[in-house]
Amino acid sequence: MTEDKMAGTPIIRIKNLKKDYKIRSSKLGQPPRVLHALSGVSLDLFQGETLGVIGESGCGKSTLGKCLVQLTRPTAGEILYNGQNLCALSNSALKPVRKELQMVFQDPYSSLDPRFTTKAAIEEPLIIHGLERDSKKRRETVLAMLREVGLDVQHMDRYPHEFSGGQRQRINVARALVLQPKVIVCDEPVSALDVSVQAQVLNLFSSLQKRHNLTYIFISHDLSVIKHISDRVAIMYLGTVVELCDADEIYQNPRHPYTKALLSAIPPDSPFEKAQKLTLSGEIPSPIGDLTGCPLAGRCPERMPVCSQKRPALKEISPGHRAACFLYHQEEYAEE
Amino acid sequence: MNDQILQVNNLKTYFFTASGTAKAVDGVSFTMNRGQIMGIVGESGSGKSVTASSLIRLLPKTGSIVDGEVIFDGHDMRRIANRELLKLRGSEISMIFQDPMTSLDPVFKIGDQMIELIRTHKNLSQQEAYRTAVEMLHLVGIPEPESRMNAYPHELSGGMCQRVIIAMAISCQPKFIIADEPTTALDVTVQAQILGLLKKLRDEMGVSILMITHNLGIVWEMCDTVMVMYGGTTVEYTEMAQLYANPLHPYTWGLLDSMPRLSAPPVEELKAIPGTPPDLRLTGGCCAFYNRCPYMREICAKEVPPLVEVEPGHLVACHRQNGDKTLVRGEVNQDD
Ligand SMILES: Nc1ncnc2c1ncn2[C@@H]1O[C@H](COP(=O)(O)OP(=O)(O)OP(=O)(O)O)[C@@H](O)[C@H]1O
Ligand SMILES: Nc1ncnc2c1ncn2[C@@H]1O[C@H](COP(=O)(O)OP(=O)(O)OP(=O)(O)O)[C@@H](O)[C@H]1O
Ligand code: SF4
Ligand SMILES: [Mg+2]
Ligand SMILES: [Mg+2]
Repeated sequence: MTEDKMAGTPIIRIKNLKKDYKIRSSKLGQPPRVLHALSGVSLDLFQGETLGVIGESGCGKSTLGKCLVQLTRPTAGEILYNGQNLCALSNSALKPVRKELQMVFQDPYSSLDPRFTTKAAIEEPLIIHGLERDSKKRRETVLAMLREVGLDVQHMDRYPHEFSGGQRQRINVARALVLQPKVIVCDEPVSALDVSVQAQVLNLFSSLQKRHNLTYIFISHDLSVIKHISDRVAIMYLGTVVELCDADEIYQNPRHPYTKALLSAIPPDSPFEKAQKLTLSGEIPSPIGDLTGCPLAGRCPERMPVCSQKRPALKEISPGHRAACFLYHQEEYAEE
Repeated sequence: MNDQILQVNNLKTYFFTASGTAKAVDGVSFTMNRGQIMGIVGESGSGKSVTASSLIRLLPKTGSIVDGEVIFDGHDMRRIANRELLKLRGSEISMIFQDPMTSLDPVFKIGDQMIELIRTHKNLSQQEAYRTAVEMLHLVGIPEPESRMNAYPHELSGGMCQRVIIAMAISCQPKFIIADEPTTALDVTVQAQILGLLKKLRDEMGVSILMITHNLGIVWEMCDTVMVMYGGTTVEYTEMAQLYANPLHPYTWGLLDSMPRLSAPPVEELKAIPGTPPDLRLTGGCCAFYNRCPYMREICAKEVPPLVEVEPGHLVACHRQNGDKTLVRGEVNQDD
């Protein structure tokens, strides 16, 4: 990350964030079990930066995003924004903050109300927050927003079912941007888009960031997208951050065994590139129930005896580079 | 035995909506052989999903196939009786929908939905169907599948829902799978596992797979042949290696250029194809790409370019790229 971005105080500090869900037991009469979607995430987010988040499907990325914008209340931990702990605020105290923290959702299908035309969907947040009262001006704002995401006047009065997946996602992006938020959690905002539109939307995100000094949390499975857009990258596995460093560093010098496996599974840039894949064998661990040891221990090619007994902490292993792995330090995670 | 399993000739599917007739699919042609994996790539909104749904006549009420031919394994899919079509859909053809919520009902547990589906198509007891469902969930990499059988769709992550759908699609041992963006919500390690699973079905059971994706890396890794779509039409169709080595349509060039590459040096801005996608109510009578095409000539706005075989097995629909005339990629101001 560029020095100036790091230099400021963090805009958001996440401290030991946890989110549990109770799930029904498969057998009648047995007590519900606990699923740990997030088991202790700590992160700082700096003004104007893009923090990329990658990780295995089901590891808690969307949950982290939803906790951050307070769509769901975490079980424990703190989220400090402008010196306030969001987790301790009441719903009414949260309202002004909500405008500043927006989320673009993963699923382009269910996140748009089928009864709303494009125009209605994009102007709704403006109306809710009382931002643009003149309807003609509002129409102009909506149209300008639509054009920025690659749609046009012909799409204004159509309903979601008349759009393709990618088109709907562009409407979602327009909807989040129209409030001019300070922090945006982008949950796979371009996964449903073809590469050309993807390029347009990514360029749009970058230019808006420069103009408005926006801070992004950018969740994506596409490592080339993450590399392009992020200043820093957090790699998650089973409810925790296992590696955190500059975007370039993660590709040049991955340290955590999960990160290494992830990088080797990327589809090729050409048909002739047959990369040696480093596959993780063994069962994908479940977030249900309590876990001892490193979450990767069951599948890790570099496992040591300590790995299945203790949990490694996320610690700095070289300047600006953190990893949670006993290969690099012996510090364990403090379970409170 | 006939080698060909699917033949599509000049397929046209239109939507008749209040705002006009949308020519979502307006001239699509390709063939597929048994045991082949074919990819469809193309801009968001270009008609990929509608093409797929048209093959098995699963269209919303406002849409209908107005022209063309779809022959699946000897059956004329446009004329086949509904009863027979239903039988084909369950037992021989499976579709993995782009929108998970087309296949998953939010009010039922995923286990119950899977068991019901399996029992409609296979003569199995409740117990056996339960075991099959658990086994399928395990195959797609869902940890602790027994516990997850009790989950409602909203209790699973995006990628887990997507995998449940894949599990459902393969649970009835189809011989033809239509997979519409099957891995967009998955991280690359799980994606690799799913793609491996699909490949295995092809290699071991001879299943044919029609795969819609915007991830060119997946095309390079998986597909035998590829069709490129733009504005509802087939603009290019050829073998995968050929598409990589010698792409011919100007839209294909734009598509390949806008792909972010991990191996490439970082860029400020990604290349995107300038302009917006065509209004499908106004297309027809011209090349759908003409207003965005840097190589455009007068004829392009006046006539539909025919799909021409410019070299064996390589079909292109472009006035300036039809065998007699050839364009040089990147040289915009060349003579005819
Ligand atoms: N409402 C809920 N009830 C129970 N469990 C839930 C709920 N929401 C999420 N979970 C569980 O929390 C875990 C993390 O889910 P999350 O959606 O955050 O994953 P993710 O990292 O975003 O995955 P993906 O990449 O597949 O979208 C999953 O195991 C999921 O099943
Ligand atoms: N029910 C409908 N009514 C009217 N138009 C529709 C309907 N369904 C799809 N369309 C239109 O048909 C066109 C093709 O849609 P389709 O879903 O096939 O696109 P796609 O190529 O699959 O795009 P994506 O990559 O975004 O999924 C789009 O322009 C869409 O707006
Ligand atoms: S037909 Fe004309 S407009 Fe269409 S792709 Fe070819 S050169 Fe471009
Ligand atoms: Mg998610
Ligand atoms: Mg589609």
